[in-house]
Amino acid sequence: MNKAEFLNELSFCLQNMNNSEKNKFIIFYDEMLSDYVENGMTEEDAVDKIGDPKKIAEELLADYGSVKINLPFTGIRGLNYILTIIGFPLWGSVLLAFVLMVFSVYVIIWCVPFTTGALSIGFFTTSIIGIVGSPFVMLKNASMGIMQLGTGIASIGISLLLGLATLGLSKRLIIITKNLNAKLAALFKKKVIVG
Amino acid sequence: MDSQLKKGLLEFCVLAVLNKSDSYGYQIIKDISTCVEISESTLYPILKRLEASSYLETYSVEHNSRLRKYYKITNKGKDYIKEFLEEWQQVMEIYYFIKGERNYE
Repeated sequence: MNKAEFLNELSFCLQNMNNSEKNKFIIFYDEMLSDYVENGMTEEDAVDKIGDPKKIAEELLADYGSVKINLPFTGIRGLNYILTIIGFPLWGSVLLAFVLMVFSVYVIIWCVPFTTGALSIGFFTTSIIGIVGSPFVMLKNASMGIMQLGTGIASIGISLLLGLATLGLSKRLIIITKNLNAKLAALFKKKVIVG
Repeated sequence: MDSQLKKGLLEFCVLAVLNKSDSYGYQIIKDISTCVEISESTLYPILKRLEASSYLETYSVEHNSRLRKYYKITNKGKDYIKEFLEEWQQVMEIYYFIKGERNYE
């Protein structure tokens, strides 16, 4: 790992820290690495000596005790609750829009397997009616009856293929939905320690 | 060594280095390493804490077309070292107490 990569990774690991603190820290390591290089080390050796950026970031964050995020607070708990309630038309509508947007994304995604599933059922019904009905048509007009039987059999095939596609798509979408859910949940689960 | 104790002692090591002359990160580590092991990630919080308590000040100097941050001990920092050294008598008493060599009167 060279110096730039090291500093990048360190910066990434410290993304929860406020910017000016983070910059000071990055500058400190930047200077340190430059000094090692000036005193005859290669960049890679210097980075090796200083250690794993993830560990350094962890140590630093541990030393901080916590990631400090200043939440707006009026100083009176009751007033905070009241303001939260009064502010409901604002944050409530934003939240609602967000929830509906997420919901519509799910609807759009799930439209695809729904369509293939519906088509599969449709073709299956067609094939049953076609095959069962074909002998009666054959009695009247042999060539038309045979054509109907053929169409019925073809419909079974198409229905099976669509059914398989539905299953395959659903399996993938279940995974995608789960991942998306987890990511959305993580948005609200960030550890916050009020400072 | 116990990490809390070491951290506390390292603060004074840093101040002692700066008491001789102003210095910068790399040099401080080099100087202290002759006595006790110290890593970059240990030094940084110590410097930060010492600066926050105004035991030291910082200034930047251009060096090889980049900025190098220098640390300078303040009078408050010098007093802090003195206090520490004066308190050492007490620390030694605690040492003997722990060791069990202290006579109870």
